[in-house]
Amino acid sequence: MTARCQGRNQGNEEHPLLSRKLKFLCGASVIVLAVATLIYSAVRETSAYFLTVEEYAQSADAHAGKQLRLAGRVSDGTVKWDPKTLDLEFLIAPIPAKDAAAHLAADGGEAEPVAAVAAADAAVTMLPVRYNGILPDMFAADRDVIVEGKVEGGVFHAKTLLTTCPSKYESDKYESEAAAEEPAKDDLRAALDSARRTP
Amino acid sequence: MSEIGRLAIVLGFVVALWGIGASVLGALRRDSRLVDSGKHAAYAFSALTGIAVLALLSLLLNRDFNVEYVASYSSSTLPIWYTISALWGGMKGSLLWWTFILAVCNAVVQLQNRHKNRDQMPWVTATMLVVGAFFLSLLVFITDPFERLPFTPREGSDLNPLLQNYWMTIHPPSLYIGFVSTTVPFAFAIAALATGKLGDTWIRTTRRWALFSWFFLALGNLFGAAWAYVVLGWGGYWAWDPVENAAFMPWLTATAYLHSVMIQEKKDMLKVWNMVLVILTFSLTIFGTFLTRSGVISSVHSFTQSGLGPFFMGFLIAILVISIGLLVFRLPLLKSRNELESVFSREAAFLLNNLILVGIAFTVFWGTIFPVISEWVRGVKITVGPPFFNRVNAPLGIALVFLMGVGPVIAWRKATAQSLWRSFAVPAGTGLFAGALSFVLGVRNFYAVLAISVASFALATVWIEFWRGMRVRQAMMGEQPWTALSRLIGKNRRRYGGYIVHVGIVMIFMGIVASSVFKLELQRSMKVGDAATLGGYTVRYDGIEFENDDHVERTYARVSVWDGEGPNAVQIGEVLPEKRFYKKPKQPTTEVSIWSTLGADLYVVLGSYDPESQLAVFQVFVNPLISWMWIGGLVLTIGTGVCMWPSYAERTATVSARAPAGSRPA
Repeated sequence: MTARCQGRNQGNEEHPLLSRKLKFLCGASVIVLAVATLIYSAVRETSAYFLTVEEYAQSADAHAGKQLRLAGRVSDGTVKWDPKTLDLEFLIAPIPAKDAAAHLAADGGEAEPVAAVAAADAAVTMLPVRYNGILPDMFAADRDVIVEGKVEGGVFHAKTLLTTCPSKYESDKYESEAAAEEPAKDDLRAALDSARRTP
Repeated sequence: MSEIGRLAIVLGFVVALWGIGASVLGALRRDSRLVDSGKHAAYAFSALTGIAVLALLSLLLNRDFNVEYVASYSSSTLPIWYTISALWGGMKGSLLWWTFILAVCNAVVQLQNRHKNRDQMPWVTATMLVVGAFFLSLLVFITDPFERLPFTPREGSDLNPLLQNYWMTIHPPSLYIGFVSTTVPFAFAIAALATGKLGDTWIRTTRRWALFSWFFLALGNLFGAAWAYVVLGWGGYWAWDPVENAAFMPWLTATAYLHSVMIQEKKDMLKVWNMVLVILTFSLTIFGTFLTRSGVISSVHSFTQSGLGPFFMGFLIAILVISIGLLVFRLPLLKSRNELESVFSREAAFLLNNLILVGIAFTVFWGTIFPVISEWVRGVKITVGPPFFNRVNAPLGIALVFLMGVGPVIAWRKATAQSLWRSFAVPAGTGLFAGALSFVLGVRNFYAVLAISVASFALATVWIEFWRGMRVRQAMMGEQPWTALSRLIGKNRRRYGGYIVHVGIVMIFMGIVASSVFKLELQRSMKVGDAATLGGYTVRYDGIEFENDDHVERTYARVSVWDGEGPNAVQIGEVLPEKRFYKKPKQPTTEVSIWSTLGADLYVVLGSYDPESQLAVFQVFVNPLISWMWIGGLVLTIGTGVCMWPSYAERTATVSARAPAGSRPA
């Protein structure tokens, strides 16, 4: 049917092989360039800086009004949630140094002890966060979260609120000798958690 | 039982090492006894990993909480079905499960080739055992699934509630089958490179395996999307999370391979490219495992992070160095005799499709590792999210569907203006008409109009192929329409099965387009009796119910669904969105409730319930055409089945090969 060859395309044989190859190379490079351009422009317009709260605090001015992803901990006693309007407010604080190593490693970077030590003075570096919408299941005081949005007027306006998952998700890294004593609670996870927190 | 399991994996590891050594030595010295020994080692490897899986399963079913894995991923109240699925619910178990599937694939390959491919088989055996030994070495030396605790907890901490879902019981196995079976084409490719027998043999031998792993990758991705859709409760099914991307990339390169391999079969071209795609697909499965296991890139639902990253990285580098080294070594043998003749040819269309598929795979790869790269290069971590992936992949996806309409019908070698007109006048007209119609009916999104247009174009070409083929048979053989259709498909399974798969893909494509462009969303805080309208539906909050048992505490809302708005609305059903609290891990979860029709899904989430104010917060989505994604998956399955089913010639060939042994006529 459609695959029948026509006698007429003999004329093509006159073209030197090289120029035909060149044509295809050009065609291919057009596509490669198109993909590269697409990637480049999309990165420019949609990327966000991924910072911890203390990293943000060190260079707050440079990041004002820019799209940010901020990793930190929901400060205890600061959560205000109105189920009528779905408005949420809380203070985001640095993740304490002892947990930071594990978390930062999990979040894709190496733990930076310097930043973690500087974060010891947590009160200075807390940042108010505003969000409107349904709370994620795992959201609670003292949980680690990632918020995405912009800082305007000293307040982080979060478009998305992600909770990083609790210990359940990293259950492979506990020291068995620390858990050797019979745990008081019947919940293994609680025992393992406390074992991890008291090195 | 844990001792048996432990013994099995240790022995399995030793046997695998022996099998690798015997196979390679046997191949080099042409010693058939050593080669046979390697083959037997492959069978023994399968048996031993099978025993290990059974041992872990019996520990789980016996609820032996002294075993760390059992205590971490199950509990005494976990239903039996999920207890079985806990086998792959944690990292150690999933590594064991992975090794087991690989061992089964290996045994099947050995059986299939017991009288064939004598020169290549030792290399195939060795390659598959190297991969198997790598995975088993992690279990033997680093993370032992049979590890016992120094004390016995009275209760396990339970399987993650998010994994206690039916999609999650079938999603990982299918994805793993897809991941692992890419090893088979890879092993044959390595064998072809090692032996220098680079003809069509390895491609013909692994044709079904490539399709098989492609299919399970597709299913795995779809099941994963379905799981995210019903479990995660944000109204979508795909978030471009690294874990999702890890599963998506090998599917893309496998798709590219399935197409470009046809060019090699028909025209003896693209030999190097096909090798590259096979190596790439396999490497991407290892890379995917590396991503999900290493925690190099943060992922909201990567459920395991461990110190295994460096091992996977090392293994990945070893694979790439060895296979690319072999490829470069054999380059002179991979020269093609043919050249592309015209941009308007099927070869060119397939090549273009390959470039776009690999382009998509690359953008996904780039977006996934972007945070790491930006941190290396600029010292700041920059992430890209779903907007990036959507922006880049929307035009590429549309171009791909367009080529899907072009590829099957454009002429080989060089299409003339005449043949182009004959093949494409009707489909192009259909596409333009559909696009225009959608515009007239009020679709104003540029991408949506374009997508509707190319999807109609692609469907029309497939329709015409079936129609013309059927008419030809009717005219020439005098067959009835249905007989003609079924024989048309039966005589040419690969081609028409492929078309059916294309129809499935177009359905999935339209589901994705409609549900991303025309999605509607609403959040509302309601008291009993309150109603809200969205996209022609009305939902009314009718009341709240509580249930409680040992395993889980449930709070669910009764919400009636009405068609239409205001006083004319007609009640069509009820949904029961739910909040759960799983008691063992002390974890709340959200269970969405979906009113699903072919036109749209009404997706209702109970965000929270406050007993004091009796306010319930609801989130409601209207997701158009999303059902077509799942229907498309079904069509894709049927199409793959048609492709895979042995042809008449193959069936008779196997029968006659067996015949002499049993049924010799007297």
